[in-house]
Formats: sequence, C-alpha cells, structure tokens
Amino acid sequence: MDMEPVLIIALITVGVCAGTIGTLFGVGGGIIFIPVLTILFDLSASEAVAVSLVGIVATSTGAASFYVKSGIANVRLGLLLEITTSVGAMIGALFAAYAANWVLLFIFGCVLIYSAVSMILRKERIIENSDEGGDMNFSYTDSKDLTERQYEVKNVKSGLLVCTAAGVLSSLTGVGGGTIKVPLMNIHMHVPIKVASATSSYMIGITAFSGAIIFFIHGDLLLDYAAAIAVGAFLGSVIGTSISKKLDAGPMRKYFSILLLAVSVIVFLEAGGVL
Amino acid sequence: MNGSTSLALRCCLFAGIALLAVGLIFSEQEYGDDIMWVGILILIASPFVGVLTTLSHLTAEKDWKWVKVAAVLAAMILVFLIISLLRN
Repeated sequence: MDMEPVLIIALITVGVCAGTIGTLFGVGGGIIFIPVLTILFDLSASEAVAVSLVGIVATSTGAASFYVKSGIANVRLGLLLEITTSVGAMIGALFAAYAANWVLLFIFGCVLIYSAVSMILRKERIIENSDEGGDMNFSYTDSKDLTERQYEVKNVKSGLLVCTAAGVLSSLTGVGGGTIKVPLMNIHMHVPIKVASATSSYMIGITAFSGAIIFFIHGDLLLDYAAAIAVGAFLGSVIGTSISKKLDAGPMRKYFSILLLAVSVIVFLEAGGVL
Repeated sequence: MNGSTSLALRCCLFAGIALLAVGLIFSEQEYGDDIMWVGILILIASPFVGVLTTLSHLTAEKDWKWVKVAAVLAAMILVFLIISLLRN
C-alpha cells in the first residue's frame, strides 16, 4: 500500500502525543486516537477503532514493559481486576444493542467528573502493610526518590464489583476503562496513584488485545495506518515513562484530574451528538 | 516474575515495532504489507504473551492462589476470542 510520507509523519505524531499521555496516566489513548482519526484523517468509526486498538496495545505494552520491570505496576492486582473488567465488558457487549448510547455517555461523563473532583478534594490515603505476608500487601520503589513504599490494597471485593460495572459501561460506550480504573484503584482501593496508573497501563493492553486480534483476523485493519500509529505510540510510551520517573504523586493526581475533566467534555459532546 | 514478564513484553514489542518501521519504509513495495502484517501480529499478541509468561512463572513458583487468577484470565480471553470468531 502506498502512503504519503507527510501522512506517515502526521500519524506518527498523533501516536507520540497519545502514547505519552496514555503512558503517564494509565489510559489507553483511545479517547485521543478515535476522534483524531475520524475527524482529521477521515477514517470510518470502525476503521478508527481498529487502528486505535493497535495504538493502545503499543502504548500499553511499551509502558507496561518498563513499569512491570521496575515493580511499579502491580501484575497480581492487574490480573485480578482484569478478570472482572473483562466479565463486565462481555456483559456490556451482550446488551449494547438495547442501550441508549447518549444516556450511558451522560452517566459516564458524570462518573468522570465525580472521580476528578474526588481526586482534587481528597488527599491520597495510602494504608501501610498491616500484617506481614498478607495477600494484598505490596511495595514498590518510587523512581523519583528511590525510596521503598509499602501499601495494602483495601476494599478488594467491592473494587472487583466496581470494575465489573466499569467494564460494562466502558463496553457499552466505547470509552476506555483507564479513566475509571485509575481513580477506582486510587480512591477506593487506596493504591498509590503511580502504582494505579502503571497497573492500569498493564491491564489496558490485555483488554485491547482481545479487540485488536478480532479486527486483525477479519482483515478489517488498515495496516499502514496502524503501523504508523503504533510506531508513534511506542515512541510516546518511551517519553511518557521518562517523564513519569520525575513526577511526584501530588501533581500527578492533579494532572490526572484535569485529564478526566477534559475527557468528560469529549464524552458530553459525544452524548449530545456534536462529535 | 516481573523480570520475565517484562522481558517477554519487550521482546514482542521491539520485534513488532522494528518490523512495522521496516514495513513503513518499504510500504511502496509489495512485500511492505507482508512485513507490516507480521509486525502487527507480533505486537498485538504481546500482552497475551505477557499473561502466559506470568502464568508460567507463578506456576514455577507454586504460588497457587495467583496461578488460579492468571489461569482464569487466560482461559477467559481464549473463550472470548473463540466466541467472537464463531459469532462473525
């Protein structure tokens, strides 16, 4: 397939921007990829979703390979939450045809605003390990000051239930789960924000794999668009991980809240039929 | 576990991205698409390869509680894939 070099560079640039933001905050980047690909690059919705999923896998895998190695991503917690998120996504897929999309998008937007306001108003509450060797006691080394921080994951059962609901909502609206999973882990389960966003990055790749492989097998993927976006997203993930090493948890929560508010605007525009 | 999972992710990621970059460079040639096809397949598969690597590592460590969690997730992904392929 012949592709203009300018188009390749433009797609790589989009990938770099979305990959950097996605890596920093543990969101896939679909909220950036899909509107940009449909509006600026004139792709159909299904073509944009397929290309976006490949970009999300590249962002997520690039970020996860770093975060998992450094121990910031909590692989065990990620696997556990991914099970119920996937169940929710499957339930959502079954009922997608019966749901009024604008109502769901409106609910989703409200959840995002609630999460953003909670993250601004509430101070991060980390519970240090209460008993040695507990199943949900973990630790990580903060790359900024190289200190080991311990934390205990709380409210696991209700967290799993909320993850199921997040999966349902995410699957019904097509908006990625990172924007719900990160605040859920941070506010409800008392997981440090850096661990929450890194774990979310790891989880998002697994979720995107299931969708991307279906498009790939069916041949519904624009190979050259996906290749350019993936290369850009990979570069973005490298930039994102190097920025995240220098960020403190406080500013990170504030920036994440701003991102949530920006995403909620896009979601409300979608609900109103503007996008 | 973290080291081996990260290594598996990196191997797939770097191989996939390298092939995609080469495919883009040769996109005017007929074989450019074939190279990109392989690159995308390797890239897309990387998160699942990561889960399988974690599962095998946990099994080797005999960490049975988390082996169950990883095995259930891997099985669910496979079932979801099969159902999706059969429905279409």
